[in-house]
Amino acid sequence: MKTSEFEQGRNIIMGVSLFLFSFLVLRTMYIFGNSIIPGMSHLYNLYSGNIAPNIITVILFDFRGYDTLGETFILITAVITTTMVFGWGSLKGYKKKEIPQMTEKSTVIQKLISFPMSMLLVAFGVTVILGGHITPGGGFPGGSVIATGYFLSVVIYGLKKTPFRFTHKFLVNLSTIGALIFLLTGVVGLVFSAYYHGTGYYLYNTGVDPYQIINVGAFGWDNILDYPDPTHPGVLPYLNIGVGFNVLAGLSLIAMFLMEAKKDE
Amino acid sequence: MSSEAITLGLANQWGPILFGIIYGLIIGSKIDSEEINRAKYPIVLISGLLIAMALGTYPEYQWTLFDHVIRISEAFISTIIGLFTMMLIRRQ
Repeated sequence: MKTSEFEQGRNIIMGVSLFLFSFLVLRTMYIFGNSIIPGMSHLYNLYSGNIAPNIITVILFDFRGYDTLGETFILITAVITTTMVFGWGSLKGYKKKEIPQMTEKSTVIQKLISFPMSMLLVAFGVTVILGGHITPGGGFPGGSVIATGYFLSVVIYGLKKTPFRFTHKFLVNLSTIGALIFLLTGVVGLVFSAYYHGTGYYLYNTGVDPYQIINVGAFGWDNILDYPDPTHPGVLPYLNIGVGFNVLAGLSLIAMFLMEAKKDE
Repeated sequence: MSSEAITLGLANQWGPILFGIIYGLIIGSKIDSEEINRAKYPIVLISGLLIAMALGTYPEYQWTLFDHVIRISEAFISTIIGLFTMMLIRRQ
């Protein structure tokens, strides 16, 4: 098979990269025993109750952070699948047929109350998300509550007249930003645990102080901005925020596509 | 054990206020407020304040009024404030 010079150069770069990757994987496997801090898991289990008052959050985001990461991407996969099945062409901006209106069925009371109720639901969802590490709740329920608020106004006012003018692009961006927050917070843990322990752990809970040793926070600002709880949850609230963005955008996108899907019947 | 690198933010009491306003501004930037007229603004605000008082958690945000302890959920009320701020900006 004849290949051009450009393809040959690309093949050489590919081969060298593969060789380097294989060498690094082999070396990591060879020195794997030295990379483990013995007793780490035991101590962590012992002190996990001091990380955040909500032990479920600790288990969900700290012990099983990879699991929650997988759930986040399952949601993205579901949104992509729904987009492909029901909303084909919507993201590319093809000419749409008439969007079904549901405003004729709505009564005056529904129209009067649903938008303020949607706003209050959005605020309640944000409260659930931001208090996820100290109260019952978290990113997934809070995002679902916000998406419920959006869906309420869409059902009452219709897609065209709804006060929440979410566009496809905005929701896709929001969902992606949520997933990126999760991934980059994991990288932050990798960098900081590599700096302090010599070994990098992805999704390491940076900022946690289970031994109550460090009383001064970042840059010495902790005295001014004191935390109401005696413990530090680390990066768990930020993971909650990322999951919240992802879930609110993903569920709203699914709802929007399912509403739009009627027009193509 | 830890680096305490990210204590600024939600690890203090200003975090919920800040992130609530951010959430409110992001979602409020997409609200086209034709469906709500000026007469409803104070009603929604007062309802939001009442619900925020019902959801209040942190002991730092409490006052004593007529011998009753009143707490405010700062995330809830800051989200409402963020939503209304963005709606007012968009109406200009």
